[in-house]
Amino acid sequence: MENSLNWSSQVVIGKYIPAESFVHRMDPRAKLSLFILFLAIVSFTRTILPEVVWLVALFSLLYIGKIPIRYFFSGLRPALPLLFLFMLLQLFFLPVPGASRDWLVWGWVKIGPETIVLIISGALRFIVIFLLIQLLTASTSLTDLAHAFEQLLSPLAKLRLPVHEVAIIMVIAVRFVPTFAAEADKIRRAQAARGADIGTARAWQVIKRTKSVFPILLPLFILAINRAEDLVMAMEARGFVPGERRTRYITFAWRKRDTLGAVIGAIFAALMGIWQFYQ
Amino acid sequence: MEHRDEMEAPKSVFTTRKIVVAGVLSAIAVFLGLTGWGFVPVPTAAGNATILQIPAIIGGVVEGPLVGAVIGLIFGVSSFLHATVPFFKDPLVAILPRIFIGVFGYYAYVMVKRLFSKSKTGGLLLAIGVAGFIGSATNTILVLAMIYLRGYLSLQACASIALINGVPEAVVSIIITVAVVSAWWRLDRGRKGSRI
Amino acid sequence: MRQNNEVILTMERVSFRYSPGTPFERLALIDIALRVMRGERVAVVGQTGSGKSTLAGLCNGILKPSDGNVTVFGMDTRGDAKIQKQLRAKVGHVMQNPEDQLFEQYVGDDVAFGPLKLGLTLDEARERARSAMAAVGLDFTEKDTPIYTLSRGRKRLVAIAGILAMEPELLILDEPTSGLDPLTAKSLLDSLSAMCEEKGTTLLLITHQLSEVLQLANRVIVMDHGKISRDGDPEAIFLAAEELPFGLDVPDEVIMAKRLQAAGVRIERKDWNAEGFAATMANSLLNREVKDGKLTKLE
Ligand SMILES: Nc1ncnc2c1ncn2[C@@H]1O[C@H](COP(=O)(O)OP(=O)(O)O)[C@@H](O)[C@H]1O
Ligand SMILES: [Mg+2]
Repeated sequence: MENSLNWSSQVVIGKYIPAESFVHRMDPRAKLSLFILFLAIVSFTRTILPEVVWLVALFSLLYIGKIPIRYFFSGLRPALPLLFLFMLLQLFFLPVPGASRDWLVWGWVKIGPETIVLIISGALRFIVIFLLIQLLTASTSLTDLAHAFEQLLSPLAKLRLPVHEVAIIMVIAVRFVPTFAAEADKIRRAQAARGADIGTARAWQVIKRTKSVFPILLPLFILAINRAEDLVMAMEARGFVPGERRTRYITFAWRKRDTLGAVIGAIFAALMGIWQFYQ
Repeated sequence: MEHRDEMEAPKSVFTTRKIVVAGVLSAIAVFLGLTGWGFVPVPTAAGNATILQIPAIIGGVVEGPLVGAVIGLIFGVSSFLHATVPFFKDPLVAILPRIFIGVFGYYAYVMVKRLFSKSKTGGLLLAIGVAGFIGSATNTILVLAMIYLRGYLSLQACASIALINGVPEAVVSIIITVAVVSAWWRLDRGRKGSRI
Repeated sequence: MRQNNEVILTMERVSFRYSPGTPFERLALIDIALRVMRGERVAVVGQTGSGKSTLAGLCNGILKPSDGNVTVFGMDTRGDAKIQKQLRAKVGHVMQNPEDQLFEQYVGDDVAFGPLKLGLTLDEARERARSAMAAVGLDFTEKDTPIYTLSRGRKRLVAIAGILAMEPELLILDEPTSGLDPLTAKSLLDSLSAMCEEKGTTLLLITHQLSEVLQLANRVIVMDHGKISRDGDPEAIFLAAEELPFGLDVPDEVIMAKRLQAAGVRIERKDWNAEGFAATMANSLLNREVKDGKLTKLE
């Protein structure tokens, strides 16, 4: 466990792989919008063929984006055993409502072609979304993503929705993850030195077992609270006003090719949506 | 190029404090989720009880429903991005239900507190505990409801997981929420003295 | 000072890497060789990031060496769970800012946590807590004080008492006085020193303050970029160094002693204080005369 806990090295959102490519150079706002659009369409896919088309399209983008396919597979591999286990589970626990042509009926276990399609399309959808996330995070730095998020939604701020506030909250969250990671590691080591042991009580002693994580969890929360108090003071001392639009120190230049990319992407998504709808 | 709003900043629904607390608690939720720390070794169907919902509940109780909702949102996004289980790679399962954890937790807290407004610390601790329970139950029930609605598992399977996972998780959630919030607010959790 | 020739800690060609095999890999200790005898009081000094805390972490098995061997009380720190447990009982490690690790509601519970985890009864733990709290200058009646009412400095004392209550044979203190006011710091070190003396505890003190080294240690190790750059008698090391290269606050006593040494006057370490300096200077002046505006020795 020692080294899996070297927190400062943990990546919060996903690994950014710098490269010179069309995908990398695309305006982050365009990328983020397309990501959300694609995600919305893919989420409602229920059949295998459209998902295969999605896979082909996204793999092409991976290629255009010069993101090593190795990176994709190394990310996916750890998830595979669970995926197969889950598919197996679904075989028994997923009776499709209204399915008529079941091959096997045994109590509440009903297995038929509809079940198989649903299971396979579910697994494919998982891989498509996985790919979609990797495509975005590998080609866009976290800072760019955060600013793109804020700028895309800033029209909503006019409607008094707290867009800028939520953006700052996200920045603070990302900023503090490595801090807490390092602190948690220190706390764990310190408590281990005092002989703290997690989960050695009998399994059914729920309260006792819960309390066995107190030596680590409570100091972590208390630390967070203290950090928060300090940060509130520091921000107010520097004249921070909630809701005030921050000075934009990152501006993105929208270019012709971004329009082109966005339009092509949107048309593709629309076609896929229509296809799925009529299937 | 710099441009700044010249207008008076409209009064925000957030205070600096709410923003910071939401950020820091979200960081804890994300950190717990990225690592093995987000679990308590209490037996459930999944093997462990998750505690990832707890920062959102605490945020809701301490700073209100909006903060609870934002922490839940960020926790949800993080769990969506890092999911290795198929149904959590679905934003409707991973993100949407999580927004309500801190909101429901907050309202449960407020209602119970009002009921017991006479007893001071006791009522407060009870209200925090109920928030811990409701917040955790919200997570369990809404997530499994979405898993069912989105067609990942049958209703029976979802209902049994909700029971087998939900109950121990809610108990764990009560204990930890009470411990953290009472440390935060410096409430006396009973005993009035050390064991020794 | 009780001290015999029993070696209690050995490091042989020890290296340590953080996050090995990742892009964040960092070599924190390189080829360390170290032997500590029972009853020694070793101070470890060095710039921030030089590897002091890492060295400390290796001593109780919390960190395992990447290369080489660490043997403590005859046990390899890579040993199984049973050995780990014995190590925890024998080696007490007060980490940096230990007050961040308090988690119980009342002072007494936190101090007694370690002893109870060692399997002592409540009565035994109470006695341990009583003497440990006394050793850091806390009144035993404070056991029922809620921890959150304490100042950062007093929380520090509680955390240190929590380790002392485990009655370790080797006590590691990682910058125990950083952030404490000078008075509390001095009295804490005085009482720790007295306690180690009484119990024969071996001490490993990590510090930024050379004055603390002078106050407490009979051996100093200077860390530099993950290596031990000097190891020996504090007096000899401080005086021999051309300039103290450690990036540390040089205490006035050392500056004074060095100036005197440069002027050809030897002064023993026990006399490194105002009275000692005055007496030594007076003494040496008695043997000199002013000749052509310069001091020269009498024939
Ligand atoms: N948990 C960690 N992960 C990665 N690197 C670390 C960690 N802790 C310390 N380091 C690095 O190891 C080196 C030695 O650190 P440390 O032993 O803490 O030094 P010191 O206590 O002398 O200030 C430093 O360069 C530091 O950045
Ligand atoms: Mg250090």
